[in-house]
Amino acid sequence: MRVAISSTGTELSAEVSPMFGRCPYFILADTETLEARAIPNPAISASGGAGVQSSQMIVRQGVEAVIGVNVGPNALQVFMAAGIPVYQAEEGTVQQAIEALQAGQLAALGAPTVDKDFGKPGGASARGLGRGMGMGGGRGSGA
Amino acid sequence: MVTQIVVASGKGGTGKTLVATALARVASARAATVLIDADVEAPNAAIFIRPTFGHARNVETLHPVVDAERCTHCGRCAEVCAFNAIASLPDRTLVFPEMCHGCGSCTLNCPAGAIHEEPHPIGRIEWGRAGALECAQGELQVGEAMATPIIGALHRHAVEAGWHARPFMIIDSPPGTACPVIETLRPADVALLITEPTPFGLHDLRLAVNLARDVLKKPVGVILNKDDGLDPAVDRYCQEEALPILMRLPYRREIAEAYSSGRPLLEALPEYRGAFEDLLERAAAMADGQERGAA
Amino acid sequence: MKQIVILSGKGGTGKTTVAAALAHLFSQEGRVVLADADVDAPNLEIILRPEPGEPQAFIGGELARIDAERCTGCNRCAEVCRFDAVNVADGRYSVEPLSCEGCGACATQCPAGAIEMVDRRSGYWYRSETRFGPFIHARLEPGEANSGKLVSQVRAASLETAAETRADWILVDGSPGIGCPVIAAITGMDLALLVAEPTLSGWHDLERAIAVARHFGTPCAVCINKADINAGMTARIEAQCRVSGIPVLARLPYDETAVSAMRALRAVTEMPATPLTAAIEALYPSLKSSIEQPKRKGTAA
Repeated sequence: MRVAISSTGTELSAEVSPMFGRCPYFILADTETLEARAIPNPAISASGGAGVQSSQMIVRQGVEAVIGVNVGPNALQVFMAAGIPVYQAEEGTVQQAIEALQAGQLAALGAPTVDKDFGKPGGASARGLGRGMGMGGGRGSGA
Repeated sequence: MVTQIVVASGKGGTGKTLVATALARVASARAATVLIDADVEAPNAAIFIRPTFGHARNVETLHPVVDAERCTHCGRCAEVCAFNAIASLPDRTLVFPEMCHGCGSCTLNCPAGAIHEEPHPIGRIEWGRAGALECAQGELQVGEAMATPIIGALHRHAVEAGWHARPFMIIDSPPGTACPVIETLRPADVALLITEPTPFGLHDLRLAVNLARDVLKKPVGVILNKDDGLDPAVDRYCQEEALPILMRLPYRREIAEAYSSGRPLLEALPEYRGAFEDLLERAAAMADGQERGAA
Repeated sequence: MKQIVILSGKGGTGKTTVAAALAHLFSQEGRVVLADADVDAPNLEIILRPEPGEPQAFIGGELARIDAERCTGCNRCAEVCRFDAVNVADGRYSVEPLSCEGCGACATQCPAGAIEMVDRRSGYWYRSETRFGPFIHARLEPGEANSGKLVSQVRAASLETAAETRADWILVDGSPGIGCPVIAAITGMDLALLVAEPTLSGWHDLERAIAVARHFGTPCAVCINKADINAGMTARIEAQCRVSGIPVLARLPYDETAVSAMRALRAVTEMPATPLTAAIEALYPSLKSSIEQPKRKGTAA
């Protein structure tokens, strides 16, 4: 399975980044083969909406799961709308996070199937995982 | 033709509302006056003036709404949005209204015409009177981010309501030097900057002077509040910068007590009336020394 | 690692005074990262007296620029601009920087391609060292907007620094108000400590600050500063907080030490003991224990 993980560095030995929208890199990895590559986060210098921007970029990479430590409500809402589950890692390396995911040790937030009211104005909003900093508070509404 | 006196400060809590409300009372005893509370995030002037607000109007921005049927998921909206308020996903488009600045770019640029805009209230303005004094205030809705459009609405209303024909408009500004203060100062004929004689007060006064005098080119007068006579640094600074100190209020427990219970200063301590009348004269004279600020 | 932000709604209640003292106390027991999120009137640096780090330019957004050579005077930019940022003088079109929001609508719509969006350096931020620990602070250039975004930058830098230094706490001094710089400071915090003053205005603004904390899901607690200047008002605030389920962690007495400490460029708790220093020293353990314990691994956040 292809996953994206917020990272402080470019190697699997790098620490998972405590923040999501403005982390320096995302590691895209195959959980079976541990083939991985790092992509710089374009939202790192975003003056606003970093969660929205970085999450869209990840969705376009075609991953099947996302791992973060603190994932803000806006990024989370984008992933839920795209049907991609988000898992919370403990402090540690990217490699440890992938192994923990494989061992079923990481908690997921919500189900990847999207609630029927989700995305309608006034419908469910996403609270965010851990302590993300999203300014929107996950109140995106969709079409 | 109106003289617009804006009462501002760099540091919060220095006494803007205390001074603005007393100044407005003194001005309205002399000539028709409007008091505007532009501190829309935390409006407090009404506590001291106790107006009856007979009229109110919502302030709205426009937010995009995407028509799922027409949306082709081309991603152009997300591309043009400078604020990351729209996310384009393979099978849906999400709008994040709190990030949205209401610029309309997504709507203008959607090749499928799939976006229209709907009004979204972010706060309101209200107006009325307290005796002879006409009053208005703005209030930002809790959870909304942008105060500036509400302050803009207050300025526009002042024109529509004919307040530019009154002799005096006294405007209580938010603290600080960021966009709400810039918007408040825009039409000012003179800026009265209130400070206290402490390191924080001086530090923030410099920033406020830089904004009001150097960037916005307003005549600036300083008011020194809570003066305990123990710190000459603000006086020194004002001398160096040739900034007139238009009024000094001493550090007095009675003033703090009146303020804390919402009692107007001139009601509790009428002996200060003269000082505020002088302040009004001097502020008006400074405003006259310069061409009127634009509405 | 836990994050605390100090807010108030109303200005002048003593946020920075309390923040500096808590920075002192936290630093004595563990590793703390300090941050000043009041980016348009940053005062914590006066007490912290940082060894300044390299200034990092902050690009707050973009500014539209009209190329006079290519402009045909069609007026489309002025028609689409929602912010009255297009000036026309003698047929010459230009952008008013104080009004331009950097949305780029004009640039996308100009038929002559005469408008480009350029990076707008709105201010600087710094990662500095202080006697209490690393300190992230910033300054917005006068006349610039986007203070909320600079606050987000300060917060992101504080998180990075806390990860690097393995800090136990991040302590953030916030700004007055409830708008975007406050929202940017309050989201995702473990606790917002609201510094109240016992005045009618202070109570009015405290209610709004509490409402913002609730709106964004940040737990809050109150401490009442200068509590003895109006005992009746203090009692009212405490009663209301009780009804709303908000813990009041301390009543701090009015004390001239607060001002004399500031003038000495010290935290209140660095001065000789007074009732105020004692009250803040008592606030410190209450503050720590009011923050939730970390969840056990395997449970949902």
